[in-house]
Amino acid sequence: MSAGAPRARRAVIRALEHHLPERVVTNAELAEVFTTWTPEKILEKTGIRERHVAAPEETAGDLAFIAATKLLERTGLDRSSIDLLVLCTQSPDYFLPTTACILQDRLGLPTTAAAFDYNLGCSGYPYGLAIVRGLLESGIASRALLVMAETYSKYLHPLDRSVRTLFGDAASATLITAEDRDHPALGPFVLGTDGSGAANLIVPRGAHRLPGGGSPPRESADESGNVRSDANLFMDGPAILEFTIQRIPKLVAELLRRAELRADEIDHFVLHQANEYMLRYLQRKIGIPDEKFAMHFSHCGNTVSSTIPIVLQSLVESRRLEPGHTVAMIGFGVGYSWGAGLVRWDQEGAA
Amino acid sequence: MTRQEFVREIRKVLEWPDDAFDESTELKGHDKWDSLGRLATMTFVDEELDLTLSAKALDGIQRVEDLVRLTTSKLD
Repeated sequence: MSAGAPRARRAVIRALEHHLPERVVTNAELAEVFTTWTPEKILEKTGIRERHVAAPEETAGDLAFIAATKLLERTGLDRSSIDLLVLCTQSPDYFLPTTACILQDRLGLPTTAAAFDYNLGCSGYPYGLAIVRGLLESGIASRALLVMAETYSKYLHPLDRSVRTLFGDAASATLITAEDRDHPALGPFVLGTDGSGAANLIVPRGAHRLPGGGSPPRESADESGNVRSDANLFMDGPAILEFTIQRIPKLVAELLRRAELRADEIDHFVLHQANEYMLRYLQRKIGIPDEKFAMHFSHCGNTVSSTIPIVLQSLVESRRLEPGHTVAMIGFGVGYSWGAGLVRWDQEGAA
Repeated sequence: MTRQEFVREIRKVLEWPDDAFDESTELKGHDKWDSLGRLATMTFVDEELDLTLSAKALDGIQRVEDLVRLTTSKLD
């Protein structure tokens, strides 16, 4: 992000919105199931007071529709001007067609709009911004909706404390437009992958490697008493932490190197809101002061790819994110996959 | 950090309920040696001893002495 960059077509975030489903699961409710934990202990260990979960008939596409509609109605945007819809989900409405195609029609976006899904989890937002920036700045599109939508709750076994205390459902929508500007507003980005960790955060059954259907999946309890089948989400917490310890501080350092910035020149660090324990560890490890370390997830839990845009929206609404501020976003998790990027919040009128 | 200090700190990290906690204490199967207990141990060892324990190594731990063995190169 060097000074004096030539005036050029740049991708700029113009608006953010999100939606949480109506049903709330409180710590008191979970403590009735996981009797060795009190509501206070769940809060202490996770930083989460409650999480929102989709109704049985409610899909990621439904949450995405509401989040995008809120954004379009608030901005008063002419829907015919949207020419790109990119949707990140790992809980799509169908194997095919993509949820983005269905959403294009439900939102009344023009048929000239490109629309596609991509399958990533907690790294989804930085990846999405990088994809959209490429399509906008190359002139392929001019005005994009970037949507994150997940209903991980449908993958969780009700007796698996290791994941049920953490994850919540949500969708977010980000409006990104191409504008002539002197300075980049998005980027640089650092993206990466290590598929050797795939088995450590996975829903094994349901696609084609291990198809669903047939006999019901067999449930079993692990040594901590968490029950799940291979149709449920499995998370190896220590393995994920090992990956995080080894990868994320280096990822932040590489982002700063590419941006030619020092850590003290970043106004806000927005890390994927996995849980408070991991976030505080990373804060100490990277050396981020409290006033620059954003956390906003106690009301909704770990919403996978929506955690970063939900924090960004809260920073805007609380007026902590001001024009001229630089935000470092760091997403990481399932895959393993990781992505980091900078947002320069110098656009007037964005909200 | 000495070996004895390390064992005392691990007891605190795990919020171990009994006073009797030494290298012979059985971790495997104890509810304090759950996923969260292992996470707490990993972050403690990383921050205090600058050593990253692998999840696989933690899976193999039976007793506190196994944990001490994994960290012995960093202890006084």
